[in-house]
Amino acid sequence: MAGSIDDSRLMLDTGARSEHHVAQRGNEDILKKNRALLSAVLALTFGTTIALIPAVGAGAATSLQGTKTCGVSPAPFVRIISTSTGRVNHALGTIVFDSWNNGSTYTYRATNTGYTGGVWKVYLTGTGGNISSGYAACNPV
Amino acid sequence: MRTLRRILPTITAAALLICVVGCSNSLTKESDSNSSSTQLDPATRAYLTEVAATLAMQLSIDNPPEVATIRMISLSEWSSTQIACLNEAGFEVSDTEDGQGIRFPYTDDPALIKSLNLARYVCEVQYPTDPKYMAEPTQSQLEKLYTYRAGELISCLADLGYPSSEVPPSESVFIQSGGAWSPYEYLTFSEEDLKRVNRECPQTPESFYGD
Repeated sequence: MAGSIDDSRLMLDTGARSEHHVAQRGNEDILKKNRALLSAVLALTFGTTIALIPAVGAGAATSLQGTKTCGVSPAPFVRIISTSTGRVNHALGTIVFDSWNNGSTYTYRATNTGYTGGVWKVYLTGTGGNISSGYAACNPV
Repeated sequence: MRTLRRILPTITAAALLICVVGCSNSLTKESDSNSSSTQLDPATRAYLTEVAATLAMQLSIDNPPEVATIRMISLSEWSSTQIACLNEAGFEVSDTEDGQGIRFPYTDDPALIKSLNLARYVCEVQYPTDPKYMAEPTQSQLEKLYTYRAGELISCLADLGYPSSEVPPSESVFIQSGGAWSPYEYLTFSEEDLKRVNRECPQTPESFYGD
């Protein structure tokens, strides 16, 4: 868990309904969409309360965002991660870093930002597509 | 560099505006003068119109310019085509670390972002991705994708020095999720290997779309 200081708050920005739950894995705080999850869970980890978005039913997520703070060696930099179909974009604050066109197959993508914190965002452009997971982790590079 | 970055948005925006106005004027004959876009059927035209309108809204482009389709592209061409188009428009974009996407210049300058968004719009409309790559996968395609990701892909990654201990989900779970599982999520690749790994062990096989 070294290097991970997290005060993530998930803000779901989508017109459709999505389900999420949060799990802790390694030094990553993961926000994942789980279509089978029907209730919210509160977890206390490292003195941080991680609030989960209650499940509201299956649907397409077109945008996910949250706040990530890193900045501690040996993993000081924010890494933005997504699995999605369609045209996906990774941004931190107002900076758009990367864009991919995943077509109709879910594809895992990652961006090493070189920044130590901020509001990360994973969002789709164009028509169609779905984000099945989007989150930020702290990375050495 | 900072001075250049301050000037660049103004120059680029002006240049782009000239290009867009000039280009759109020469293209107001619309698609009829372009041999590749005259082949578009009504359903495809309608789809491309919808994509263009959606992109304009998402990229905050008010009154988007008229842009003619130059040619439809395949999914594998998307990043290289868009990068070339954006570079031609004067933007320093490159490929992503995995070699499959577009990396934009790091900027929070609103003017530069605005002009870059306009260029992104123009390039996407000029070179739209064939809608067949966006169609929801069939059951059969998902079954083949599962066989590939849970088998050949894992072996391929191990051969390149990235063995995965993650157990794939069952085929039924994979299909129910729409194919959302990939062994890539459970592996850490070195920066210098990323492009090679993605090229030699793609998450989706080239045969998926029947190309």
